[in-house]
Amino acid sequence: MNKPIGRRAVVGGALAGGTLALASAIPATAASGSSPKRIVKAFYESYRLRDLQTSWDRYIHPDAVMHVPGFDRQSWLEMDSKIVAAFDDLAITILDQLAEDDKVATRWVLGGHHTAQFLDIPPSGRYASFTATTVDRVKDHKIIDHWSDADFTAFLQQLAA
Amino acid sequence: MTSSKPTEAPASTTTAASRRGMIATLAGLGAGAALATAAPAYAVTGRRDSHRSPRQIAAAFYASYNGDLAAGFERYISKDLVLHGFDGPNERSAWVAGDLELKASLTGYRLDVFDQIAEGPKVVTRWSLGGIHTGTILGIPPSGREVHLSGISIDRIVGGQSVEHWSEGNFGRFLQILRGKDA
Repeated sequence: MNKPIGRRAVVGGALAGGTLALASAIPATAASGSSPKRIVKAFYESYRLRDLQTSWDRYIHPDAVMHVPGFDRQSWLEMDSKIVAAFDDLAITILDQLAEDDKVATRWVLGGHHTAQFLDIPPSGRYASFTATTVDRVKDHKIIDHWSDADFTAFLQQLAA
Repeated sequence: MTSSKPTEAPASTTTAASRRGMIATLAGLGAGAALATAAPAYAVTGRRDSHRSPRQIAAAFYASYNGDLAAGFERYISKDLVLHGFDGPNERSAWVAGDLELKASLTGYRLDVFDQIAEGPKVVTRWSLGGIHTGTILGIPPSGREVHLSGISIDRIVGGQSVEHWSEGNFGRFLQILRGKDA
């Protein structure tokens, strides 16, 4: 990710200060190398920038396969955009990462304050979080396969309680 | 996510049959069999398996879900295990009891391993289990439904045994399906 982000920062700096400021908010790990582990880490940490369309463009391969029944690349973006919109301080924190060849397993926690309606659940104001373990396969510096397991039902119950 | 049937081809793992064969061979040595019954099993088997890679240990443990699961726990899961369960820290004994109950309560029980990722002492295992709900699970009476639960687990292997275990899966939805609240 080093070269693409570097180019963005340079172009942004030349054209608009605002873009440069955004680039400086990208986690340092995104600019420190292009190993599968670093790419996946940068993707999850980019959630705190609250612009998932940009995250998808940068980190999710156009041919990405989402191995969660009922979801594809676009509906995954739409669902996670709803989560970001409903939690004003949402962040994903990486707890652990293991990599082998082009696959990266990541254990992370997503958390934030529930400040807007999420699905059919009105804002509770509560802090809610859940941990997940994901497996991502990287190709051409982007995620092309994604598997995920988490107790999302328990997360929804936290919000609705 | 958890109610779907596994659609992937399971990864190649040590089969229960071949593992049983290996154990039978060792037990056939009279002195070894006597020692195995006189000493704590983990003390003996820990040395026996310490030369195997973390990936081999994890593969053998998850394969035991389709064979003698109690023996799998005894052999591959440390008595000093640190357990990070679905709902936070948990006890080894609760994990053993829960998984034995689950296996006994699902007719046609089967656990498939789809993938393993290993780095250093840690192994990630992506799996799915399922069967027909014909016994009581966590107090939930039999529903007769076919149910599945997928998960991704991480084990840290030291001396031929898992000494730390993390697991994630949509267990809340799995329980809802058992209760008939989310068919």
